[in-house]
Amino acid sequence: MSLRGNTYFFAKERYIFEGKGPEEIDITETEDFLLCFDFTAERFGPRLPLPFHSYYAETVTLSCVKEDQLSVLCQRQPSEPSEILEIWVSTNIQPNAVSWSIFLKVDMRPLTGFQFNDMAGSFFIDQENKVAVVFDLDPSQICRYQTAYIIGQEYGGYFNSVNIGEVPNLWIPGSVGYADTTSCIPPVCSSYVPSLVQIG
Amino acid sequence: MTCLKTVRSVCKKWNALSKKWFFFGKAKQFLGFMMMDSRVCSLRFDLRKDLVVEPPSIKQVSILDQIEVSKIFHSDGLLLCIIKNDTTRLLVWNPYLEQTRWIQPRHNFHILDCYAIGHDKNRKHKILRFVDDFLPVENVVFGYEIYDFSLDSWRVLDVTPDWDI
Repeated sequence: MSLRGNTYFFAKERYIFEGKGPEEIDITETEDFLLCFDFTAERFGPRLPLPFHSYYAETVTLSCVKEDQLSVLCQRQPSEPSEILEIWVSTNIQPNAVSWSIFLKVDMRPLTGFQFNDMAGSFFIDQENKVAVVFDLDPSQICRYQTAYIIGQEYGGYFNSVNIGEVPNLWIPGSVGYADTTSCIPPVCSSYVPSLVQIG
Repeated sequence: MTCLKTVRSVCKKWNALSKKWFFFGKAKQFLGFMMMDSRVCSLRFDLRKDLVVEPPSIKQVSILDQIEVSKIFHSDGLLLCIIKNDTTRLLVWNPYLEQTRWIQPRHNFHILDCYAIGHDKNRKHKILRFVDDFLPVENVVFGYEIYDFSLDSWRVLDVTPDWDI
C-alpha cells in the first residue's frame, strides 16, 4: 500500500525449516508486522508494530486514507464464538515508526457470517460517515457476484451490501479451466488522487 | 510543465474530469480503479449521508481496452499495470494526463514477481520488483531490483530478508 511515495507491506517472520518438516513447527504464533520500503533510501525499514496479533489464515488487509494515513483491517477466523472485524487507522506513520487508533470493531457473525478473503479482499474507509466498504465475493451465491459490503458501528451496527458485477469465468467446484475465485476478486485502488506527473 | 499551452490544455482536462468524476455534492465520492475480467475499470462510489447505498459506477478504461491486466498498483496518481501472461513488459499509466509508458525488464520478469510503485523525496518515481519464493522446478527464485523512471534503468538491490511478504 502506497503512502507518501513509500510502500507498506504486511509481513511475517520467516521460518527456516532446518532439519525439521514444516509440520513440526508451530506457525500459529508467527510474529506479524508492517514493513516499509523507503523509496528515498531504497531499502526496507525496521519492523513496525501492528495494533493486533493475527494468526495463520486470518484476514489482514491494508488501505490508505487520503494519501497520508494507513488503515489496516483484521478479521478473525469464523471458528471462534464471534467473528470480530477490526479496522485501525494510523495516527502517525513514518518508514520507521507508527501509532494506531481504533476506527471500527464489529462482530461480523450476525452480519455476513463469513470471513473476508485472506488473500485478496480490499477495502476503504469513510471517516466522515464512520463506515468501511469491503470488497469481496458473495459466498451465498456460490461466489457469483462481486460485492461491496458497507459496515459501520453507528446506529447499533450498520450493515448493507451491493452487487457490483458478475464474476466472469466463474469457477465451479470440480470443473477445470476456470480462474479460481481469488483471482476474480477485484483489487481496488480506492483513493485515487489525480497527478500531473509526466511519465512519457 | 513547459509552456502555457500545456497548462491550458491540462486545465481544460481538469475541468472536464472534475465535472465528470470529482463533483462533491451531497454524496461523498470515492474514486478508484479495479479489475474486472482482466480489464482496468474506473470505479466511482457514492456514499450518502443517510447511508442509502447506490450501486457504484464502473466503467472500463477505453485507453487500455486492448490490454489484459492481472494486477494494478497505485501511487501518487500513477497506476502500474502488470500484464496478464506477459513477462516482457509492464505498463505505467497516468489516467489524468492520459499518458502511458511501457517498461522493459533487464531480463524477463517472473510470474511470481511482487511489485510496488513509489517515489523518493525529490518526487522521482521508481518501481520495486522482487521475487522471493521456492518453486519445485527452479528451487529458490530470488531477487530484488529497483527501476528509476528518470534513468530508464533497473538496478539490483542488496536485500537479505528474514521475513515473508
